[in-house]
Amino acid sequence: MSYNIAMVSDFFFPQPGGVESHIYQVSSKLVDRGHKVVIITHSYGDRTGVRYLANGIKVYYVPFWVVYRESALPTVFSFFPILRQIVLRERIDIVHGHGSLSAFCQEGLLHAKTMGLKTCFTDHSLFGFADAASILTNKLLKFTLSDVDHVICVSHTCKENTVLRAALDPFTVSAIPNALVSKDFRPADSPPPTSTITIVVISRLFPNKGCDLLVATIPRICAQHENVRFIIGGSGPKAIDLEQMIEKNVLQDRVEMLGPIRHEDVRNVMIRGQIYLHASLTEAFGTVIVEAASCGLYVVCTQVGGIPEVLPREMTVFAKPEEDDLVAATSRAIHAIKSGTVRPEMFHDQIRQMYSWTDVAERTEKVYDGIMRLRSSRLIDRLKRYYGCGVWAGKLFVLCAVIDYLLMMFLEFWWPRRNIDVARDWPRKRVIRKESPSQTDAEGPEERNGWVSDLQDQE
Amino acid sequence: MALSLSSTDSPVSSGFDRSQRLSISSSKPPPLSNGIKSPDTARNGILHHPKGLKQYSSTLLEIPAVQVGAPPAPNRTPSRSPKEKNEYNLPTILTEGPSPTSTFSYSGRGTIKEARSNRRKPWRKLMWVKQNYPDNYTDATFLETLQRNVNFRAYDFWPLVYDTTVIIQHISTVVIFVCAFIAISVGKVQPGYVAGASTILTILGWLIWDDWNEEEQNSLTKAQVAVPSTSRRESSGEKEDLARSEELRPPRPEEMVEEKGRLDPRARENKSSVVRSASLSPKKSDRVSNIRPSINSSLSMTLSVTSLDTINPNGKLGEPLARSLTAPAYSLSPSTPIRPPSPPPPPSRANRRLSTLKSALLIYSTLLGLSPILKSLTRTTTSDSIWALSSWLFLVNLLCFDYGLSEGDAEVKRGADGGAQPPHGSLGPPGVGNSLRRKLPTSLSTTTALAASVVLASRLTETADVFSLLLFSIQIFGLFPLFRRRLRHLSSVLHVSLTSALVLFSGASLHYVVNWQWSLMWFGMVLGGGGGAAWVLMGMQRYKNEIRGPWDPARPVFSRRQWTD
Repeated sequence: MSYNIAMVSDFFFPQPGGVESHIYQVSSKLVDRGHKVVIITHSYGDRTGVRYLANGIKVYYVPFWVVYRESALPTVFSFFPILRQIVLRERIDIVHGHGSLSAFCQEGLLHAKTMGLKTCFTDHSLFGFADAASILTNKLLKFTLSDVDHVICVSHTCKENTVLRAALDPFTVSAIPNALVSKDFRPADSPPPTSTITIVVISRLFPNKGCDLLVATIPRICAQHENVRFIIGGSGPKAIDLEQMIEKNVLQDRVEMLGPIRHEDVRNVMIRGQIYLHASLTEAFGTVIVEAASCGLYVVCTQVGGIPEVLPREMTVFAKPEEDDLVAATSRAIHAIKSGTVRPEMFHDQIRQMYSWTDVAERTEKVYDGIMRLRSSRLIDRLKRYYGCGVWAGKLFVLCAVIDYLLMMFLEFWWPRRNIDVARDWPRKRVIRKESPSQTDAEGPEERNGWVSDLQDQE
Repeated sequence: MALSLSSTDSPVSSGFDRSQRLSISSSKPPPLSNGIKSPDTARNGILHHPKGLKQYSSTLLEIPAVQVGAPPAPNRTPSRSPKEKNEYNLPTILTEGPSPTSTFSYSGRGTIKEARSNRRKPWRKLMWVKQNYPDNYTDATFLETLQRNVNFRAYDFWPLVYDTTVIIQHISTVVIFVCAFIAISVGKVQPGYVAGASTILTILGWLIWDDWNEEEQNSLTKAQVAVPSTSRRESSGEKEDLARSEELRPPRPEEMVEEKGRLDPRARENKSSVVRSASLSPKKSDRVSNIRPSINSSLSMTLSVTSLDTINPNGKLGEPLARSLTAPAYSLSPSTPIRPPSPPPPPSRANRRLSTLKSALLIYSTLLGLSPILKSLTRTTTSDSIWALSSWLFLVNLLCFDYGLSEGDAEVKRGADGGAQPPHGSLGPPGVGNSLRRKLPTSLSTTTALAASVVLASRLTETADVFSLLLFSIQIFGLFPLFRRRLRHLSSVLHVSLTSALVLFSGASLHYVVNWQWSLMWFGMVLGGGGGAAWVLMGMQRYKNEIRGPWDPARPVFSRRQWTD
C-alpha cells in the first residue's frame, strides 16, 4: 500500500535547519519506499511555483506573506483554496505538518481535516508554559491538534511537552527520533593527535544555546589545561560576547572562531577535534551531538531537554547547566581522551546503527498505516472536540471550523472538483516493502551526497 | 545479544569489543535475532491504541490510563508473513536484547533462554536504543518529571491586607486633595485654612523627621565608635572615614539602597555632600542652579520639589535622586587615593534647620510669584478638558507611584536580621541604570500629581486660592510620601494608624464636600479593595497551575564572578 503524502511546513529549503533537513530526508526515504511525497511551503524570494528535487519530490512554493523568521502570516482561511487545489491535483491522502510555529502547518492540518483527509503532525521543538508567546502558541496548537490523527515527536521529553501543551491523549503521540546521514559524518581517517586536545563547539550563538555558559567556562578550562584549544563555529548575537571573552583573557591563539558554517562543512570542522562541547539550555533532540559522536568526537553536553535520551553514556559526559559542573565534566572528558579510556573513533559504527533516516521513514510509515486505518470523523465529532478546548477558545474554534467547512462547500461549488486536473505522478519506485530489505541508510548508491548538495544538483 | 553478556571488561574497552563483534554479527544475522524481532515488528506494525478508539482528554494534566507493563508479546501472533518480517532485518543492535552500546546496567540478567522467552525488558526513556515497544508506547513513568507550582507560597489574609495599606494611603491623599480643590473652588473652605493646616502639619512632620534623624545619628555614632577599624580624623571628620570605608567595601549596590533611610541617615547626608563636593559644584551654587530653572515654566515646578529634596540635607533627601547622584561618586572613589576633596564642615543641627528653612522660604516665595502665571496658564482650556486631563494625570500618578513594597520588605527583613550594622555594611556603587530605573516611577508620579494640581488650579479665580492649592499639593504629593515611607519602615502600628486616620479623614472630607453617599462609597471601596481583593487573591490561588519540567530552558548557574566585570 502506498500513500500520497503532502508535507506542509513553512520551513524548507533554501533555508537551512533541522526541520528542513528532516522533511527532506524523510520525504526522500518515503519515496524510496514507494510513496509519493509532495512538499508544500511558502515562497522564498523569487523561488515560487513548482520545483522538483531529487527522487521526484515535488515542492510547491506557494506565494504567501511572510511575517517573522520565515513564518507565514497566520490567516486562518486564506491558505485553503490553494491547498485544496494542490491536494486535489496530487490526490493526497495524508497531510503531514511540521513545526508548531509554522502557520502553514497549522492551517494545512485544519483544512485537511475539513476535506476529510488524514493528518499527522511532527513537533520539533520544546516550549515552556510561562511566557505570553508560548501560551498563545499552545492555545493555537491545542486547536489544530485536538483533531489531528497522530502526532510525532522527536524525543520522549518532546512527547511529554506536546501532550501537555495540546492536551492530547499520549497514545496518539509517537516518539520517533531525528537521524543523520551517517555517511556524511564519518570520523577522520587519521584522528588528530591527543597531545593537543581540541574542543569543538558548533552551534547558533544564541542565549538559549548556552553561550553565557561557554563564555564562563572556556577561560577556566583554558586555565586548567595547557594543551587545550577551542574551535567555535556558528554565528549569532552572542558571538560578540565570545570575542570579548577571548580578548579579555588573551586566548587568541587558543580559541578560534570560524563564524557561520554551512551544514556540509560541519564534518570537516568536527574532525579537527576530539571533544564536542554542547552547552545548550534547551534542546528537543540535539541532532548536532549525534553528528559529533558520529564524527568520532567525545561529547560533553548539558543534561537538558531531550539530550539525555539521545546518546548512550559511553559517548557522552553529562553536566548540569552550571558553570562548575561543565568545567568538571569537560576536564573529565579531557582526561579520558588523554588516557585513552574512550575510543571515540569507534562511535561512528554504533551511531550508524542507532540512527538512520530509513528507520525514521519506516516508523513514520507505520504511523501512516495506523492513521489510514482510522475512520474519518464526522463534522459534529470534530466540533465537539474543538468545543472542549476551552470556555471561550472552544466557541471560537468551533466557529472557525464551521466557517472552514462552509468555505469548502463554497469552493466545491465555485471550483468543482471535476474541473481540477490531476497531476501526473513521477514514476514511482518499485515498492521496496515487497523486496529484499538489505538496504540500510546511506548505503544506497544514490546516496552519495548530503541533502543540500542533492538539492543543488537539481536546481 | 549474547555476546555482550559475556563481556565483563571495563566499560570502554568492552564497548569497543562489542562494536567489533557487532559488525561481524550484523553481516550475518543470527537466527536468534530474528526470533526476537518478530514480536517487535508485530507490535510496531500496528499502532498501539489501548482500544481502537482514541479518547481525547481535554483537561490538562489528566493523564489517561497509562499502560503499565504492556501485555506480553506472545499474546499477539505475528501478523506479518515471514517474508515481510525479513524486510525488517535490522542489525542486531536494533533488537530487543542488550544492545552493544547500552549494556552496563544489564548485568547478566538475560540469558539466551530468557531472550528467547520474549520477556520484555522494562521500557527506558531513551531514543538511541531500539526497544520492543511501539513508538507511541506510554510508560508509567510518563510525565513523572513534571513539577507543579514549585515555588508555591500560600498567602495569608492579614499580611495581604497590610500590604494594601500603602496603596490605600496614596489613594486617600489623592481623594483629600481633590476634596480640598472642590471645597476651595465652590467656596466651602477658605483657601488659607487648607494651606495653613497643611503647612502646620508639614512642619510638625518635619520636626518628627528631624527627631528621627537625630536619634539615628546618635545610634549611628555609637555604632561607629564601636567600630575600631575606622580611624577618626578631626578636621574633615567622619566624611573621610566614610569615604575610606566605602573604598574598602565590596560593592553591593542593592544593600546600600536598602540601608539608606533607616540605618545611617548621616551617612546618607554625608554621602550627598561628598558627592556634591566631588562631582558637582559647591553646595551653594548647586542649590541655586537647581532652583533657578524651576522658575521658568509651570511644569518644572515639579523639578523644584525634587530638587528641594536634594538641597535639604536634613534627610529629606529624595532617595532616588540621591541614588542617581551618588553613583558617579562611588565609581570615582575606588580609583582615587584616600583624599576626599575638601568637604564642607558637617552641618550641625541648627545649620541644617536653617538651610531647610531657607529652601522652604525659597519655594514659598517662588510659588507666590508664580501663582498669577499658573492661574492663567490653562485658563483658555475648557473645563471638560481640564477634568479629563486631571483625571488622567491622577490615574498615572496612582499607577506609577513607587509603592516600594519589595524594598520595604527587604528593609524590614534586614532590620530583623541585625539592624545596628556598622556603616561598613557594604555600600557600593549603585548601578546607574538601576538607579534610573528606580527613580523613574516616583518622579513621574510626583510630576503628574503636580501637573494635575496646576491644571486644576487654573479653574480657581483668586491668586490666593491658586497659591494655597499649589502649596498644598507640593506638601501632600512631594513631601508627605517620604514621611509615609519612613514611618512605615519605623513602626507598623503607627503606619496602620496613619492609614486609618487618612481613610477616615478622606471619608469625612468627601462627606463634607460632596455628600454622605460618596463617603459611604469610599469606605466601601477601601474595605473592598483591602479585604476583598486580598480575599479574591487568596481564592484565586487555588487555580494556580504552574508547570515545570525538563522541557523548560535551564537556568544556567554561574558560580564565580562573571567574566565580564
